[in-house]
Amino acid sequence: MKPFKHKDAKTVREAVKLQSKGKTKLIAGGTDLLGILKDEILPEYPETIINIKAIPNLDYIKEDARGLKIGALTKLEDIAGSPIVREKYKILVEAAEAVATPHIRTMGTLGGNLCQDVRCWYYRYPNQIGGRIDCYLKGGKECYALTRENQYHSIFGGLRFTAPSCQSACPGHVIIPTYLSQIREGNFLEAARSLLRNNPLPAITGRVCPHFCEQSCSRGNFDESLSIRDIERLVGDYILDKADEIIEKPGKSTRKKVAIIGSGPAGLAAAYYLRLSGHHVTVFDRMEEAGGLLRYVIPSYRLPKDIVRRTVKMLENIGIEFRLKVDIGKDITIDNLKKDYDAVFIGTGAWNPVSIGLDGEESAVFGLEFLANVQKGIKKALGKKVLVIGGGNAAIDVAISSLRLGAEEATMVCLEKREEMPALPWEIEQAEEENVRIMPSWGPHKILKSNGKVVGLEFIRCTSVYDKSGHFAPTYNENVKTTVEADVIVMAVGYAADLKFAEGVVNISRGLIGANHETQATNVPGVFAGGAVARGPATVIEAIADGKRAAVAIDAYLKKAGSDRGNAAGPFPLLKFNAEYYKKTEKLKASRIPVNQRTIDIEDTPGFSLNQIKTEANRCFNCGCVSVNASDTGVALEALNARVKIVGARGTRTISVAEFFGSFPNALEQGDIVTEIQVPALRDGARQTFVKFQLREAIDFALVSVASVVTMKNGTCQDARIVLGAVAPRPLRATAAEKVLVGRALDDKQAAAAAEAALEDALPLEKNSYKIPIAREMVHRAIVNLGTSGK
Amino acid sequence: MPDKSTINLVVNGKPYELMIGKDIIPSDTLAETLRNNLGLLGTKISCDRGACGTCTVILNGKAVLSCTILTVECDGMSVTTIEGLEDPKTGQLHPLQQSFIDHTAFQCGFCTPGIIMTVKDLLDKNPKPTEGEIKQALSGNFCRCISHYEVLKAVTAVIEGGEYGK
Repeated sequence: MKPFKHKDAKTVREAVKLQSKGKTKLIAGGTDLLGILKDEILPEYPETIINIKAIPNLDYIKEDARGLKIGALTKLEDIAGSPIVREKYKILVEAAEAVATPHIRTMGTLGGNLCQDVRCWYYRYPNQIGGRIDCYLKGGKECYALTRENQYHSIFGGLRFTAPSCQSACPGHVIIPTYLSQIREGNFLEAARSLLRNNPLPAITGRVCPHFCEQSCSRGNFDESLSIRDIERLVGDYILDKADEIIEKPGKSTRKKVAIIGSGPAGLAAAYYLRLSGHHVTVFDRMEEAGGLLRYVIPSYRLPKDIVRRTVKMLENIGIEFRLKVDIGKDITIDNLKKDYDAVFIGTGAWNPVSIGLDGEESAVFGLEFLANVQKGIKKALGKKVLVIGGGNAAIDVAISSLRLGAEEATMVCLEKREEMPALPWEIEQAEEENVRIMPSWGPHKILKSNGKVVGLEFIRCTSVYDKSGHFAPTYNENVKTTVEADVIVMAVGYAADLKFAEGVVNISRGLIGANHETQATNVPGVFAGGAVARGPATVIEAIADGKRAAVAIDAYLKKAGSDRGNAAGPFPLLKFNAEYYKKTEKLKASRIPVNQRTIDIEDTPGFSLNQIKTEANRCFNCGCVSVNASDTGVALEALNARVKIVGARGTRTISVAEFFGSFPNALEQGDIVTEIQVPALRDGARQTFVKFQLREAIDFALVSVASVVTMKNGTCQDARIVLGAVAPRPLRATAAEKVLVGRALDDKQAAAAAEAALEDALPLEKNSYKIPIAREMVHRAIVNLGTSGK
Repeated sequence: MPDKSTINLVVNGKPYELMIGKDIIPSDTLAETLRNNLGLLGTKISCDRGACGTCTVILNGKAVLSCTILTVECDGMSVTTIEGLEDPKTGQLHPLQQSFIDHTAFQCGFCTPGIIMTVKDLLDKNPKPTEGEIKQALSGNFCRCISHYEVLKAVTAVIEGGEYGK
């Protein structure tokens, strides 16, 4: 074993204190932990092991009228040997005796058995299948059991304890698998609402977002990632169609007023969430229509303006006020806004050109201005031979728009090597498809003029763009030159924020408004900022995320409440997926209309049908952990409706075993210690049974276990608790089976019906459907057993 | 309060004082200490994960797995290993040991010390166990050479011979 420090805790309080700092692990019986340490299973090896065996008075079995209290350090052997437990709570004896071997039971404690670490071979043997693997549970990208050997895993779906990889990759943290599972269930309304929780503009992002989520999709390692973009687009359009039904009504008026400057994605997102919180929200914009770059920069063939207008309309309909053609700094000062409003959000974007220091550069056209003019109705190419400087998406938009507006040639020249170009790969592909000439690794050197008119540009070879530390520091070879003929030069190399209106009001640094990354708060109380004005060039979803973060912070600021929103985690639901998720399938691939039919106004990609989207949603793994609960006693204790007493840094709490296993892998937080297990006294007429099916009689985990407690009166079942072990990431109540039994005699027929009901919702993985008939038979036998046991 | 710096153990009746940091480190298991520090090689390490039973010793009167116990947590405790069964003066084997020899209750012998210590613990508490109880007690001791049948005969012979505890 790798070395660690070792400390004896003399009291529970001391153990809590020792545990709350540094990388620590508790040791009680040690039978699980030492193997974990020897195999170096944990993502972080503990620095200190805290021995709690030395804590006095945690090893007891006490009985009173209310039931049984068992100290967490009580050995399994002592529980199995206790006359009280043997007489009244026999399934606890049976479960304790089902654990491993007599030696382990001599050493292992009840608390330790409940807290047993996750049972999954990918988790337990990370170094034994070729190099170290870190599964999803350890912060890795995927759950290996979903697509590989999974014979012993869950047959009721997975559990998620942290954001899946798609959600983590999304700057807006959209909970993608949740809305996809709602689509699978046919619940479009809830899917739409789930999506809106983190992104109020999905019809827009479904068209223009680069979808980092897709690049992180676990399915990508299996066959191909999901086309989340196309699903999002369809749900986004559905939201626009049915906004009145879908969008929740704004909360009760808070009588607080918020001003939003700028109606781009950051401003619109902030406005949406603030309005839902009940604030009065006014969005200011200097343009004629709202939407910022969505309305005035992104070409219509990528983002139809109808979509932007309908999105704005949807926001107006929930009571957001838009005041357009108001230029902040000219028509109203920001100081005035601060006086008239309780909070201000600045999301003005970046609309100014950046100089590259080229002689005669002023004769070039600013790319953004060209795109905005097209949107304002000036649908005319700038020249016959258009030369675009820049390698980003805006440069591509300029080049493609120029060709579609009748230019004969469009050439894009950029400093970067082809693989370094900031434009997205599929945009570059499209540009080439439409005959845009792309010339990477060239630096603009001299504008060529004839009779005062631009005729071209001379370039020198750019040998590298970034220095070793990744800073922009281009180097050139002036001996290698080329010339491009052009009658117009368009600059699309970067954008700067116009900050004149904010000067002297908020802190400005390096051309951006300084804002806190978590709250978007500026140095001035009540003034917040986000999007490109605060972070520099940004994607739409990053701006939306800023807007949402700002809305949460503004809401907290206005209500003068703490930002503690309390995570109502509750028992996590088991995650469902399409039963045939493991069959190799192809990604839905959006196709553009033929090149010769593409225009400046009509959307290039037609989108997909509802059925196609459902099929695509079916491909989602709904990533979680599909391990099974390890603890035998946990299954019996849940059937006995036991409670777990936990002492932690925040005090003492007692929760049900169901709640204990409700969070994954259990409800313990850093510093928590299980100190006692409380089993309520059984009612008169109670009968109980525990059965464990395992491949070897000793030292084996359950393949399936069943614990059940029923109360009988006059031959009829009054109340039933049936809990299945080793079939899901936590002990699983078979409530459907319980319902079958209540009010009936426990005969063979009812037992069969209950067994059927218990497995009705089973959702096996590729290689473990054999567990279903075993589990069904186990439930059947357990109930027959309860029916015939006289007691 | 400083953490303890030495661990006192009584092994097969003999006291030992082990300095933490010098003789042992906190991550040493009892099996490692018995073998590496005290030279008691009768206690075997096989799976080293608490599954096979070859490392079984008797700690404060209970059969435990010495691979799954930290030596630092054994301060003040008493350990009996296979080496502690014979008569220290005469060198005469313990009746269980003799019976295992008489019944050839082993083949390679690697698991035998663990099995004998487990049986010793059982008979100390229950001198007349049933066959079921013997099997149950030994369910955590694995033998790859299938010595189980001879082990049962050897143990039964000791019980029936009334030699145990003499």
